[in-house]
Amino acid sequence: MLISNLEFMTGKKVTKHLGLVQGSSVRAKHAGRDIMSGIKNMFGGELTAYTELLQESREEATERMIEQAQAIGANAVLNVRFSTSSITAGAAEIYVYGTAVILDDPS
Amino acid sequence: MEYQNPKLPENNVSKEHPIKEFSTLLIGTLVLVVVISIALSVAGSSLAGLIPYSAEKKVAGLYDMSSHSDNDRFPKIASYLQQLADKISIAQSLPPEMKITVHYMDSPTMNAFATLGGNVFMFRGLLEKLPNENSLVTLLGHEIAHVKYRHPIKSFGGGIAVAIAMTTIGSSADTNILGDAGLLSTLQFSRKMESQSDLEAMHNLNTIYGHLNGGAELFRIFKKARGTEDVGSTKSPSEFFSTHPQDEKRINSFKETAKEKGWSESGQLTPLPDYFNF
Amino acid sequence: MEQLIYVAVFVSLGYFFGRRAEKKHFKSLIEREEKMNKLPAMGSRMPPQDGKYDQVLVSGSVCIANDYFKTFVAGLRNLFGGKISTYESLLDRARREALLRMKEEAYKLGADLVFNVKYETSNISGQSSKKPPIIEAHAYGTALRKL
Repeated sequence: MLISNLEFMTGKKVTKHLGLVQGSSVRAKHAGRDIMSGIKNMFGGELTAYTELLQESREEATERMIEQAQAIGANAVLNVRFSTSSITAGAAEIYVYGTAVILDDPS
Repeated sequence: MEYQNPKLPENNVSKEHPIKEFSTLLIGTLVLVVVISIALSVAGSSLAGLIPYSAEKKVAGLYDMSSHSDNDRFPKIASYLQQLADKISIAQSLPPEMKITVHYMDSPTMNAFATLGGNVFMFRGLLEKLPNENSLVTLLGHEIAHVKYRHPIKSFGGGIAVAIAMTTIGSSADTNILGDAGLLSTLQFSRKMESQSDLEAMHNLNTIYGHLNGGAELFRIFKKARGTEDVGSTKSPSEFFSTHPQDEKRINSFKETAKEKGWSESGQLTPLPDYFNF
Repeated sequence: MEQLIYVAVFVSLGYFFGRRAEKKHFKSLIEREEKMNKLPAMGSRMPPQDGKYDQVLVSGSVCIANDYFKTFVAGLRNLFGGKISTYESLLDRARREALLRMKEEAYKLGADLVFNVKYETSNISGQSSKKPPIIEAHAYGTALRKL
């Protein structure tokens, strides 16, 4: 599965557009890490707990998007966009969506 | 070029049933709360043990303990109990600043307890069941030993640590813990504390009378009261009994300790004074 | 104790009504999606090059509130960390509803395709973490009608 945020694939031709596919994930870290991050927030620096949290979320969301694309028979997802929103304190929502397409070698 | 929107699979929502997740989380939270409460209460009680007795006395002084007692109405009984308590204090070699104050309560509740600042409460309901002075000394010695080992402040400290944590989280904790009712009823001692006090009571019984006869009688009274449920009290008496080691065990440990230390188990029983009949 | 009873009542009410509403919503979403799939929506910014099209901006949005049960479970989940599955369905519903409304608008205009679809999601319950979330999903794109 090709994932790209370009609108086309160089050297390949889009033969079919299958519309939007999407994946989302909402996750939280346990309270202990929330507290540690709260303390660290006073001194600055990277909050590894939250970096990790968003990374995990992003991976899972992407996974789900790929699942959808596979289910409808696409072989690439183009023009992929990520969006992050805050739903509640300490939890992160990652949403990823793109256009599922079927790519073919130009003959 | 073809454009199409095929039907997408429903994979963005977890399949797990919400009730299942809810119950796992709830059980987990309860376990967490219990574990943290225990940890806090242990930490609180061991820290509270470091508070100097003079500070404890001051805290206890904030509440007018004597307003609860019926000492004025029964001066004879009160002074008799106080004399015994002073005798026991010497037998237990209490430090001089630990002054025991006995409060007699004219209530049918079968209870007796020690609280902050060396205040010991004795209830008529329990006293009227005692057959002789020896068992009274055992009971009083037991409560005084609680004071000696700082059990009230330790138990109080544990309770406060939990209460503070609860209020910080935002749930409604039993804010009564600092109030009047808190001082008089929430002090529950662990079994370990009770055994420690039992041993000390035995020790002073032997020091005062030279034998242990009559001491085990106290636990037989408890056992009987528990068996018949006829304890004629308004407050649940089981509250008092529940944390105390099982009566049978206490009677046995009485015998074992006597053997171990070579203390005599038989001897002359001292009767209670006449005015002690209710 | 009283508070505990209130919480229990609200959680169970939230569960029963929230679950019923959610099931109903998902059913209607699936039905309407089936109908609307004849009007394809694309994320691509490259419109088809074959012929002339009339273009107009279309959008759809929806606000969905969380029920007490979901908030409660999410609160517990926040203690332990991990996937907050009760919010997933909330977001999924909001986005799909927004996209459908956008497509329905495009359909009324007689469009053949919707291009460059973008989503916007926000929590409009305010910054307080104590308040249950209200999700707003907004989908917008350019509807194309063949001339």
